[in-house]
Amino acid sequence: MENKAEHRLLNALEHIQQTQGAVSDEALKALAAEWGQPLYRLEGLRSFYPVFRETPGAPNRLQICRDGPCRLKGEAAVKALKDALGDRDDIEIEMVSCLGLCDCAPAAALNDSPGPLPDHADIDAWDIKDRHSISEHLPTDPYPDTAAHYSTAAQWLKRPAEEIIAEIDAAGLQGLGGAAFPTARKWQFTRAAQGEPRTVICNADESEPGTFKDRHLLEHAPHLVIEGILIGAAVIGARQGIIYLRHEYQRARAAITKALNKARADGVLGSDAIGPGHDFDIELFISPGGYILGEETALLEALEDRRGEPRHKPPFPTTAGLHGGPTLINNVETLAAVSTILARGASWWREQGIGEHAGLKYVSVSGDVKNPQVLCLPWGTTVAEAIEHCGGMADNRDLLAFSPGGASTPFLPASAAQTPMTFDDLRQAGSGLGTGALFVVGTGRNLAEVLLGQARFFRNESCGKCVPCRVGSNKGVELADAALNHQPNAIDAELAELHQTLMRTSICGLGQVALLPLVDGLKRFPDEPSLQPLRGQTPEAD
Amino acid sequence: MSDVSLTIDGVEVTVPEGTTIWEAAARYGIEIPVLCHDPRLEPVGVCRICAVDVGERTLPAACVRHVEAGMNVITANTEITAHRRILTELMLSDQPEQSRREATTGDDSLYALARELKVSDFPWPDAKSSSNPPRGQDDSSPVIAVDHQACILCDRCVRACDDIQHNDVITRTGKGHSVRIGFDLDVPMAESSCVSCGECVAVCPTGALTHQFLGETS
Amino acid sequence: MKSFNPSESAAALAGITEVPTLCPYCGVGCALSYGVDADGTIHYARGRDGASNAERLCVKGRYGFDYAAHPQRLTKPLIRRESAYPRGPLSQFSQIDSSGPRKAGGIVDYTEVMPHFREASWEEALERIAEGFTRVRTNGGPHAMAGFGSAKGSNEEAYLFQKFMRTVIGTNNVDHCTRLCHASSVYALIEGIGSGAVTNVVRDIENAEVAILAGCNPTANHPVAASFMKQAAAAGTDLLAVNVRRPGIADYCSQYCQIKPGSDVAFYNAVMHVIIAEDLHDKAFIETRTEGFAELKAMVEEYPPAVGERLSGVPAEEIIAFARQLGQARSAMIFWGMGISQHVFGTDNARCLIALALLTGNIGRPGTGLHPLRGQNNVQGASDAGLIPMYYPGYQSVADAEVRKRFESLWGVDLPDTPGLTTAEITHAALEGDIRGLYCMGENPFLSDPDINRVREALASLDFLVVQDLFITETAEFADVILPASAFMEKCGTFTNTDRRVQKSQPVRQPPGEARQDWHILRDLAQRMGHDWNYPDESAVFDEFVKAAPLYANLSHTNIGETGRWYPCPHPDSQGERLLFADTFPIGRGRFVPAQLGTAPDLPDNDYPFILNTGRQLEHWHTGVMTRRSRALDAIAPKARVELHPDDARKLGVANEEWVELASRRGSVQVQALLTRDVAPGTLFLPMHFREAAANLLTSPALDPFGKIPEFKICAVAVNALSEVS
Repeated sequence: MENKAEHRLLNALEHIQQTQGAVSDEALKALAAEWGQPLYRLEGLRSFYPVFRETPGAPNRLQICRDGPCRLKGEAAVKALKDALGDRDDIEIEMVSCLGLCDCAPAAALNDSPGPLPDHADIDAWDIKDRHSISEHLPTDPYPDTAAHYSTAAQWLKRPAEEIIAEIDAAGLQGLGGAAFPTARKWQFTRAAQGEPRTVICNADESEPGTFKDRHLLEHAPHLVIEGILIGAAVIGARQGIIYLRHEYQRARAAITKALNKARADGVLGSDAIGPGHDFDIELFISPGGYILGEETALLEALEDRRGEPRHKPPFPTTAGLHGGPTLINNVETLAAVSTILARGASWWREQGIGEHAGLKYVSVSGDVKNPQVLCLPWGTTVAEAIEHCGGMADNRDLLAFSPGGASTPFLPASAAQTPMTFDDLRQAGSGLGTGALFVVGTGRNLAEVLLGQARFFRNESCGKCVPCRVGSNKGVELADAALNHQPNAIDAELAELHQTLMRTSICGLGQVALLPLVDGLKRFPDEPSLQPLRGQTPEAD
Repeated sequence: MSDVSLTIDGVEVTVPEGTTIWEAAARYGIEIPVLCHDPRLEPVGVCRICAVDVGERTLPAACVRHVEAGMNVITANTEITAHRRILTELMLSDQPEQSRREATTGDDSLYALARELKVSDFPWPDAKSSSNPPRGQDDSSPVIAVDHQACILCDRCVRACDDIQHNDVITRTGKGHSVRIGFDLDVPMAESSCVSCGECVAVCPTGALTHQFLGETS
Repeated sequence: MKSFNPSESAAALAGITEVPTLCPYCGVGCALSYGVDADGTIHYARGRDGASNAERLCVKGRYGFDYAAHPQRLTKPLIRRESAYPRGPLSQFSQIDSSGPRKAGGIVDYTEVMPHFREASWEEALERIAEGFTRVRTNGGPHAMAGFGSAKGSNEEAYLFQKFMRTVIGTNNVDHCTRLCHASSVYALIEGIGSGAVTNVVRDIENAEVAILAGCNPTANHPVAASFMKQAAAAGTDLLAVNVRRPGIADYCSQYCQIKPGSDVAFYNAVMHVIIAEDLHDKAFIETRTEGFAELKAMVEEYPPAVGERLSGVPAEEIIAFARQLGQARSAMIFWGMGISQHVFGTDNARCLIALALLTGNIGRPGTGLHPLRGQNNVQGASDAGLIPMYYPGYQSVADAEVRKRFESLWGVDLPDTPGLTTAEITHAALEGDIRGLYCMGENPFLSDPDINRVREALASLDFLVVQDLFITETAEFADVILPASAFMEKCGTFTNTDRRVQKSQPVRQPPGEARQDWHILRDLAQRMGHDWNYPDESAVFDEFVKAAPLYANLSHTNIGETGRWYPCPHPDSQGERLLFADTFPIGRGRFVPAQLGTAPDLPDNDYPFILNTGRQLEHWHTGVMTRRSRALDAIAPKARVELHPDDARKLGVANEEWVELASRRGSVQVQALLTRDVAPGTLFLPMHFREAAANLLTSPALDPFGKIPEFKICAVAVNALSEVS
């Protein structure tokens, strides 16, 4: 397994970046000669992935999140810090997309070390303000202690794969990365698909603004994710597992590495891991960056040493995924839930929900609440209850709007706060559960800027492959930005039309939703003053 | 390989399995407009002009989507034409006022498509009013003029260079709305390993890659 | 833009038509169209879906078309002024016996040369020529005359030129630059399988499991063919390159063997040794299709891998790996170039490759075959048309009385019965005083032939020289009469590419001024000298050629059309044969001709310690007459550089781009150095195109005894840094 990584160009580039502080032209020329690769291919990779830099830059690099909750809460602080650091050439400031630290918004990372945005005074004594340094026992972790880890897999791997699938089906588990595809069916499809190689991939590339629940799970219960991968491998007959982790999750990386090493030492992974003669191990792959890599086929492209540009579907990864073989790709939370369900039983899982709803859901809550955090809630908990669990609204604000499922889910007004946080209920309310990322916006905030911010995020993170997304998201943002910040302009109809084209013709979900929150917000909040410039009206002065 | 029967614009068609919708339609005389596809190249489905309706949530690109038995394909209707026009407008909005290709080899496919779709005014900000820096030109080659501003990232030159001539010079460099084509490690064309075969110019559908050399010495 | 205004676009190209024709450069024979306006100005070239190029072109075909419109085109006949005798070189460059940074360079300086000529009418010029040829023939007999035709001309022109020399002048002293490129390959092929052309087309490499690229550099010299080779490699064909200088395509090869200069025979004999020793030879094929295997086996027994390693420098295990790869392949093609043929043992080199194909049964099936990559766009056709001293059209021997009788009746004249002299022999004979008159149609021996200093003497010694060309070439400086001829894009004619595909060109512009079609000039000269040549057009010439050469049976201008046909063409509706010799060879059984490793004539010693290799580069063509007048090509590759290994450079104290002097036993050249590991230590590479660094000032005039091809690939030189020159 370790050897596989060494055969990947992206790992070689990562190594150069780590050891030399940049991926220079000279380094690429040497790599091209060594690997027998044309230069253009290396340039394509270097320029696509944000981790790789052409030149080392200043000795210190402060990355500040520019998205969602961080933008909402941090604009003034960021400006103050920038002004204060203005004349220092030992530190460069880079505004970056979501760092997955929305609970400590505004978030930042100094030399890849993440934490809340420091004060000017604190910058030289950078210290990760660590609220989660002690490992928590998560409510979905069935094990009282580490000795019991992987006992569920040990038990279930003795049983026919069909029973595993039936149990997951009985629990009603749906993909928790946002797509809500029934997990049992996905496993069934992948198991039935012909071909080699067969791979299980844990998609841990959580990067959507407002979403940080997977980080929480990986930091505190990596063994549940590993166990889920192991069970998935047994079901589909995989020889290789990969955890595809975003590079900003340093602590999760350490926790996973530790758990993998222990699992290998204990014989859970390695020779005969999924039965006699069936070796299985898991590689931890650190993404070289970019939200789009969370799109499962873009992720596959990265694992095959290409630019992370989504593939056309069909074929789907279940039948033709990594290197053309059947590939089971599940989200962190889904795989962990599999372990929980098989440990406790499908009926226990179903009982955890409220009323007819089944199971437990990790929800990332960010924005204008008192204590942004990851909550583990029974399915069916309402938005209002989730806000209460976080200590209610912050700064004496009232609820203005909320987006319940990440940057792609439309904002709903305060009147919808009693909606249960389920796929169906939120869809009926006009939004979606998405990744389970509740972004709360209080009164007094500029909703138009928040909505445009979501579009900006997608524009910034577009891979650039297809015209509607690459050009359309940019033109949409520019058109709206000009109307909001320069000259009011009645462009709501044009934006809606543009959104239709993006939604219907973009290759992947990113382009399909890039303008959705903005266009939906224009319809849903007809009286919102901040949105009036997009209808050609000058907003009333506050 | 077995045959597959499906309906395209109401016409019953039968083609071998693995045929794309675009190829199947062409075989039956139904022309689906497209910019990024050229029959000599592996399709990439990125311009989305050939989007067709197969009754799914989104409109797949006919050039990449394989036919399926019983599929009912609609290659043009009001909605599809509206999307094609918007996509064409989006690409045009970054173009220079005059196409260098129209003036050199006369075969600018984007302009031809715009004419066919009767595109006139459109609301999208143009390159001049954009906050993005201009994408620039590369006049370093004595024979090939590169105008990144006119590039629609159709990937044809990349595939022509790598998959037809196997000279392995061109890539997409950067990401998102700032993607450009680049040569080797994104150096000026004349400093790259380009051997000036001109295949990229031959396949380019816009004024992005045109012959630098305008006619004979006089 | 914010709005699209359709009416504003497109008018720029109104009036441009695309004329389907061919590329004028190499033997790949790419089909293209020129976008031409009403004045005949070519605006662009566009690849057509030709059998050999599938719309692809290279830099020369795409951008090198403007030479025909160069202002230096000759527009009137020129006659040497009395003051310019005694005959000698006229430009400063052609007078000196070395070249370098402070010496003349680039194309011929017209201001130096033109004053020595005066313009003349066609009437006067042709009369002067008829008189001159007659005088030489009267004084020295018909064999005192010789003619150099051109592989750049059409089949029709080649046919008429050889007919002119044989029937009007009465000599077989007619040759062309095939002598300088594949004469040895053709000799070995005719000897071994009875046919001098390729047995299979380039693009069939897609069906080959293995392809050997021997002594060729296709990415530079046959770029579009190279693209199909690389495409095959991408689809799984294993390319095996053997060369003394790393070719660009080595990047796409599964094995590259860098052999010592001149060691080809040892390398291939060792490969055959291993194939036989490991029982990988095709015994059924050998049994049913060949003869002479025992002799071959006995010869290669002397070349076990260890001996191969000692002689070729390729490690024994690599020789074994190479042999196994080839021996185990179900199909293999063998391509070769000048690295095989341009040696005094070029014929032996080619014999080894032919033996290798026979030994492994790799002829006559898809994905197999022998393919000498032909250089000029019509070097195959010019040879087919009889532009060679020992054969009439269709490789029919001039020494065969039966054949001669047939041609005497076809042409209605008595014909000489002795084979003529070859290119380099003509130079020797001129120096000996045996050749007194020379007719040069489209050749520039001053730069293309070995040992320029001897060529200069030979040209100066002539009694009468006629040069028919587009420009004043170095050779034309010696001429009595210079005739302004037509460029490729001004002609209708057929051209036969390396694949044996006969394709037709279309004129897209008129010859400038009074310049004439080459075949019109030949016709008028023949008539003036008393021969009744009445061809209504080019197709009539072609029809007579077909009548003379059964090889081209069933072909005509009409059925060749815009897309071409392969020859042999079994019937008029056939596309022709792509793949030859599935069942038998023209001589019945293929012949193994064993070869022993030979010794090059001009080897290094203490005074001349380096081995110089000469050849071509992508952007230029032969003596540069065309490509150095192409604005684009000249801009991309404006100067010559000698390739030098960095280790040697360090010892010599030479940095990249610094000037060095190369001196051989015959001449010297000053040129900038290009440091590269493509050349082996102790070896150099100098392109032949640049007269200011004329490679052939250095090369040796020694010839291969069979093909009469010069040794262009090995000559001993000394290298000295010229640090004082900046």
